[in-house]
Amino acid sequence: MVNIPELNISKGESFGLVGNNGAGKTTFFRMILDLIRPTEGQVMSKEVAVNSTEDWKFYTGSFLDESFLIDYLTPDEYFDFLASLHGYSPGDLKEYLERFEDLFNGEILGRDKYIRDLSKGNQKKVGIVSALMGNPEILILDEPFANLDPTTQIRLKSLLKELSENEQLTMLISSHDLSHVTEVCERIVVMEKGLIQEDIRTSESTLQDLEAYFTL
Amino acid sequence: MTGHLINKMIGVFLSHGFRQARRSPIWAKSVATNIMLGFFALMMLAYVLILGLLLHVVVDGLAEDYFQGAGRIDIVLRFSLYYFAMEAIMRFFLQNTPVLFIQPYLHLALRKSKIIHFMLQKSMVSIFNLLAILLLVPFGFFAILPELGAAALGGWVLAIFGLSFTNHFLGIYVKKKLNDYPNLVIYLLGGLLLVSGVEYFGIFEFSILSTWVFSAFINNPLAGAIPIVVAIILYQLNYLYLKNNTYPEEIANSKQGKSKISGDFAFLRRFGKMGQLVALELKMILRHKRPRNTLILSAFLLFYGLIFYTDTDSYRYFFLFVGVFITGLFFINHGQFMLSWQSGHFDFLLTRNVSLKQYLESKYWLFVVAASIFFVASLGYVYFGWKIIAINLAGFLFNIGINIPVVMRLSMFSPKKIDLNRGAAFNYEGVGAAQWLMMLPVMAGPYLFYLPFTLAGYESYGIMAVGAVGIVGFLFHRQVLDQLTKVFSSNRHKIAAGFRAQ
Repeated sequence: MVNIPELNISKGESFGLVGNNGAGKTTFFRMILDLIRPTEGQVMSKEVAVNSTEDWKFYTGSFLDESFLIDYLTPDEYFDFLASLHGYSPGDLKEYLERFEDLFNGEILGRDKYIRDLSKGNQKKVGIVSALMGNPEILILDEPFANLDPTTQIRLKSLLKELSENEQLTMLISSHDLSHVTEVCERIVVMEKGLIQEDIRTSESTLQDLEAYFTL
Repeated sequence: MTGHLINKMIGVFLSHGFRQARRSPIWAKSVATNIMLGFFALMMLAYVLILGLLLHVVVDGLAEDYFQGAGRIDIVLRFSLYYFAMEAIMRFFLQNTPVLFIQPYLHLALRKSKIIHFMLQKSMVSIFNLLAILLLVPFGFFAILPELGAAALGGWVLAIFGLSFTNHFLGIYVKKKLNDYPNLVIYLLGGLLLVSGVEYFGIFEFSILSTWVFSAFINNPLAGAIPIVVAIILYQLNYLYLKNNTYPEEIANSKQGKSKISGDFAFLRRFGKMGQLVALELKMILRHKRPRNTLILSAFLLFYGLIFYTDTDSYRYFFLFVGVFITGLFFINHGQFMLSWQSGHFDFLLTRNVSLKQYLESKYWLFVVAASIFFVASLGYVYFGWKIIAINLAGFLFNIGINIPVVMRLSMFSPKKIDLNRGAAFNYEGVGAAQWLMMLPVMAGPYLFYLPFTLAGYESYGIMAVGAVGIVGFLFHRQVLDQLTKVFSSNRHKIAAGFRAQ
C-alpha cells in the first residue's frame, strides 16, 4: 500500500507528513518503528536497518495511538515505569514532569485515575510527554494535535517549535492541520494513496500551496 | 413500531451479531475451537437426555436398596429442589451474562427497551436452560403420566420449564447486582453455608420442603404455573435493572467511582528493568477480571492433589502428573496466554527501550518464582508422606527447567487478542490450537524420563531422573532464552499485526 522508492530524513530535521485519510501516513510511521515489516526495501536508522537490531529503541521516542500506552496504569505509574526504563531517578522524573505542568493543566498527575478512564485528549498528552522521555534523538508523533483543546494545541505547537530548534533532535510528525504543521516543520511531505506527491521546504507560501493542493 | 418492524429489527440485531463473529479476524483461527466446544456441548446434552429418558428406571433400581422401597415419584419429588439449587449454583459460576454490544445502537433512533428485550430474549437460547427440561420432563411422561394422569403431567412440565427460566433470570440478575454490591457474594456464601448446616445437622430436611413444593405442582396444575409467573417477574426485574443501567459510562467501567489504585510492588524496583516488567504484569493481573480469575482458579486447583494423594495404590503412577500440574499451575494457566495478556499495549513493548530478551526474561523469572511459590504451598502434602514431596520437587524442577520454556514457546504460536475484563470461566477467547495442545508435552514430558526407570522397577531413580533433567534445563536457561528470543523476534510483526487487527 505504501510505496516509497527512497526518502532521506537528515539529522535535526523537523519533518511533517500530510495527506488525506488512507494515504499511508500511519503505516509509514509503523514501518519506521519496525511494527510492520515492509514487503520490499528497508528502513535505515543511523545506517542500521530497524528490523535487524533493537538499537533504535534507545534513541527513538514515539506515540502513534493508544496501544503505545498501558491503559490499566495511572499516568503517574506509567511515567514512573518509563522513568525506570530510562534510568531516571525520582528527582529526574519530577524535574522532567515539571516542564509539562502547563500542558497537563492539572488534569493528569496525582488524580488516581487509570489512563483508560482519561479523555482522548488527556491520553494524548500522556503519550506525547512519554515519547519525549529519555531525550530521544528521533521523535515520531502521529497526529499530535488531534483531540486536543485549542489551548493545548497552541502550547504543544510552541513546545514542538522549541524542540525543532534543537539540532540534535529529528522530529517526524503527521497532521491533518495544515497551518500547525507548516508552522512547526521545516520540510513537508505530501502523501496520497501510498505515494509521495510533494516534498517541500517550508516557506512563506507553503500553507497556500498546500491548501491549493488539497482543494478539489 | 409495528410488529413487522420489530421483527425486522431483531433480524438486524441477529445479523449484526453473526457478522461480528464471522468478520472478526480470529474467526478462521477459532473455528476448530468452536467446533470442539460445540461437540462437547452436544455430547453433554446427549448424556443428560439419556439420563432423563432412563431416570425412572434408575430410580426404580435405587429404590430397593436406598429408599426402603419408596415409589419412584416420591423419590424424585424429594430431590427435585436439590437439583434446582445445584443448577442455580452451577449457573452462577458458569453461565455468561448476556451482553449485546449496545453502545453503537444507543444513539440511533431505536427504543432502548427494544434493545434490552432483544438482549434478554436472546439469552434464553442457552444450553443451561435445556438441562432441567431434558432431565426431568421425560420422567413426567414415563412415570407421572401413567400413574397420575395428564393434568399432573401438565403441572410437572409447566413447573420444570418455569423453574428452569427462573434460575436463568435469577442467575443473570444476581450477577448483574454483584457489580453494584460486591459484598453480595459473601452473603450468598453465608446463606448457602447456613442452609447446608441446617440440613447436615438434621435441624430441617429440605427433602420435606422439596416433596411439599413439587407435590403441589403435580396435584394442582395451576400451581405449576407459579414458577412461570416468577420467571416472568424476574425477567421484568432484569429488564428494569438494565434499562436504568445502560449508560455507556457504566457499561465501560462497572465499578464506577471506586477507582482505588492497588498495589505498588516497590520492592521489585531492586531488580531493575526486569523487576519493573514483573511489577507491570502483576498490576495487570490484579486490575483485570480475567487474569485475576485465572490466578484464583490456579490457587484453588492446588487442592487437586487431595483427589489423588489420598489413594496411594490405584493412583500411584499418576502422582508425577499431579506433582507437575500443581507446581506448574500458574505458568500453565497464565502462561498459555503470555503474549495475549498484553495485546492491548503490544506496540508499546515493541517500541520502548526494553529489549525482546529482557521482556522474555521477565516472563521466565515470573513463572519460576510463581512455580516456587506453588511448590512451597504444596509442601502441605507432606501429610501424605515424604515421597509426595520428592515427586512434587521433581515436578517443580522439571517445570522450571523444561516446561516453562515449552509453554513460552507454544504461547508464541499465533496468539490472539483477549479482553481482560471478562470472566475466565468458559471463556475461550484467545484459545487456539497451541492452547489445546500445550498440556500434552507438559504432562507427557516428565514421563519420558520416569517411565523407563519405573518399568524396570526403580521408581525412585525415575523421579530423580525427572528432577535431574529439570536441573540441566535450568542451568541452560540463558541459552534457551536466547533461542526463544530469536523465535519471538522473527514472529513479532505477525503477532503485532494480529493484535492490532481487532
